[in-house]
Amino acid sequence: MTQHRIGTQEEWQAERDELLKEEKELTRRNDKLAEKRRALPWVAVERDHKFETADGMKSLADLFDGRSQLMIYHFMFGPPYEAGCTVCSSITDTLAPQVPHLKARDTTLMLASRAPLEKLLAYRERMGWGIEWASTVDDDFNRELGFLHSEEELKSFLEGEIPPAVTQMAERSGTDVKGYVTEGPGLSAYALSDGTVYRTYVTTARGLEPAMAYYGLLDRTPRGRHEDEPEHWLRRHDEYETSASS
Amino acid sequence: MAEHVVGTEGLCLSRPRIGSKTFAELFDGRSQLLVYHFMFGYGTRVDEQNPGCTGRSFVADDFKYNFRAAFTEEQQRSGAHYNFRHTDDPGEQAPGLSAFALEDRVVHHTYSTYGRGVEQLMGTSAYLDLAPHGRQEEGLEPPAAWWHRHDEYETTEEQATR
Repeated sequence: MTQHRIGTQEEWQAERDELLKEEKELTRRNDKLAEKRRALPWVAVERDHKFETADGMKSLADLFDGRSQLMIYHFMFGPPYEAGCTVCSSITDTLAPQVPHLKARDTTLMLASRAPLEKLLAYRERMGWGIEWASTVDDDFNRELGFLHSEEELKSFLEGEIPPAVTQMAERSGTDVKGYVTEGPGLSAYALSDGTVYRTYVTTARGLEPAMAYYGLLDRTPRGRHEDEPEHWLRRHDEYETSASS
Repeated sequence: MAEHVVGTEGLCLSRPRIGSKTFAELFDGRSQLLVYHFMFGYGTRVDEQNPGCTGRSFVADDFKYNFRAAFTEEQQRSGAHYNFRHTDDPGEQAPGLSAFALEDRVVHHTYSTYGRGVEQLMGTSAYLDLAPHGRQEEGLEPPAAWWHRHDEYETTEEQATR
C-alpha cells in the first residue's frame, strides 16, 4: 500500500490552488530577477582570447558569428580527459537543441573546452550534437572566470575526503580526480556592441540547472530527483542500458 | 480513476501500428509517468507543415479533456477552465504537463501545470533570461511570434541572399 497521502479530486484541487499561488509568485520573482540580471554592468573583455574552431582560429568577437549576443557553456573536457564530463554531456543534451531557437533571437550558444579540437569534435560526433565547440587556446579564458583551477587551489580539496561521485565522474571521463576537477563547469554571456565584447553574466553550480532539463521535469514527478544512492545515477545518453538489455 | 485507453496507433505514418495501451501500460515498467500534452489535435492536417504524422498524435478517449488541456466545441464557444481558472476563449488545445504515480497497480494523478508553468521547462526562455538583451519579445504580438519549428528557421545563408 502506498505510504503517500491519497486525496479526492476536490482535495487535490484545493491544495493545488494554494501551490499555484506560490508557483506564480516564483515565476514573477524570476522575471524580476532576469531584469536585475540584465541591469548588471557590462565588463569589457580586453584580453585578446583565441579559439580554435572547425572554421579555423577565431577571436571572441568572431564567435558571435554575426549576432549581438553570445553564450558559452564551459564544458569540462580538459586535455587529459578521454571523454567529456558526464554531467556536462547531460547539460549539452539540453543545450544543443536550443541552438536554432536562440539564433532566431540573435543569440549564438556554443561550447568551449581546453582539450584539443580534434578530441572535442570526435566526441561531439559520438554524442550527435549540432552545436559549435571551440578549443580554448589560452587557459586564461577559463581561469579568469574560476573555471580552471590551479594545483594550489585544489590542494585542500584533494587532501580531503573525495566524494564518491567525483571519483566516478573522473573515471568515466578517463582521467584521475585531480585531472577531472582541474576543470570547472560554467556559463558565461557576452554582448557585442560597436566592436567591443562585453561580459554580462557568469554562473556555475546550481545556476546551471536551467540547462539540466531532467531536473526540472523530475521536480514535477511524485518522487522528485530521488538521488539517495551514493553512486551518481547520471550517464551519457548512449551509456544507459536499454530496457531490452536490462 | 477511469481506465483511459490511449491510442498509439499510427503515431507517425511511417511507423508500424503498435496498438492501444492502457494508462498503466504507458508507465512502461517505471513508477512515474510524465505526460506532456502536446498540442496536436485529432483534426490536424497532414501537409508540408506536419509531414508524416497523422491527426491522432497521441491521445484518444477523453484523456486530454479530463486533464484540461483540450476543449470541446461547446467549451471553445462558452469558455472553459484552463490553468486553474476560467478562460473565455480557451482554443482547441493548450499546453500542459501532468505527472502520475503507479503504485499497487493504481494510477494516481499527482500534478499538472499549464501556461507559464510549462515555460519553466522550456530551455530557450530560461537561457534567454541569462543573455544581455533577454527574450527581446517587446513589440511582438503575441510575444511568442518568433517561435518556429527547429527546421523552419531561415539559415543565415538564406537571409543573406534575400
